[in-house]
Amino acid sequence: MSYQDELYHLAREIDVTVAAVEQAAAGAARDRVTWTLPGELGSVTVTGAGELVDVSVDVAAMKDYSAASLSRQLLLGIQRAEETAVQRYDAAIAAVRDEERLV
Amino acid sequence: MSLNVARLRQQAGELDAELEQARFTGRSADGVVSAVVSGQGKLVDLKIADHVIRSSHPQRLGPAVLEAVSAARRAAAQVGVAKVRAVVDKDQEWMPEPARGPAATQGNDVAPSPAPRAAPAAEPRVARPDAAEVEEESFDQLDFLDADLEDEGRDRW
Repeated sequence: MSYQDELYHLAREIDVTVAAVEQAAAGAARDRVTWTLPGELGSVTVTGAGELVDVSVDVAAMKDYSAASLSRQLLLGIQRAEETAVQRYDAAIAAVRDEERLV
Repeated sequence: MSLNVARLRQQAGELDAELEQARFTGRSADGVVSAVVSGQGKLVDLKIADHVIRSSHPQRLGPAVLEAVSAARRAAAQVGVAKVRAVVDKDQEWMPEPARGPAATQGNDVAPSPAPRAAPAAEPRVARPDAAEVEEESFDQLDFLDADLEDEGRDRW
């Protein structure tokens, strides 16, 4: 194989890998992660890209909480949901990267 | 102009550390929820007003949390983007913020630090004309006589 052919195939390989990673990233960003708050307090939803899109709080259940403890539960819930989304996003990209043997 | 990659990398690292320490506060429209995020947009604190739990509209709490977090992140993004531009764009000059204690960083509302300074000698950038525009100005197609007459507001005859 000539040097030009080798370069051409290498470029094609890179193109295919980049496209696969982009597709995996877009798919992971579209996914949503819903984190259920303890004590049936409600749920927090974030996109796969880590953007907070919904906070639902059960009106009856929140009466059992003080404002401080409710704040803490919501803070922890949002943080956990976002961490989970980021981990899933990274894992989706890592899976494609490993498949394509991109270092 | 040569690109100093090592310097750029060092500045990016310093900026990242600075943004991690910075704090931005956002509030819901009704003011019952306040959220604090780092300069990187990470939620670090959330406070709900005491009276919300026994208020007549507790169902407003969820959207209020969303509003507060979004407002704080918008403020962080606004400053973060400006600072990143100052590092990448060489028309502006970025200097690291002096280190501050945690008490000083708390309570920074929308604009906690000054905007990046423009380099004194920096000229505003002028968009480079694209190839089509350059072709339109080709001297081959210009009629200098007509152009002069039009400039003077006269007809040929």
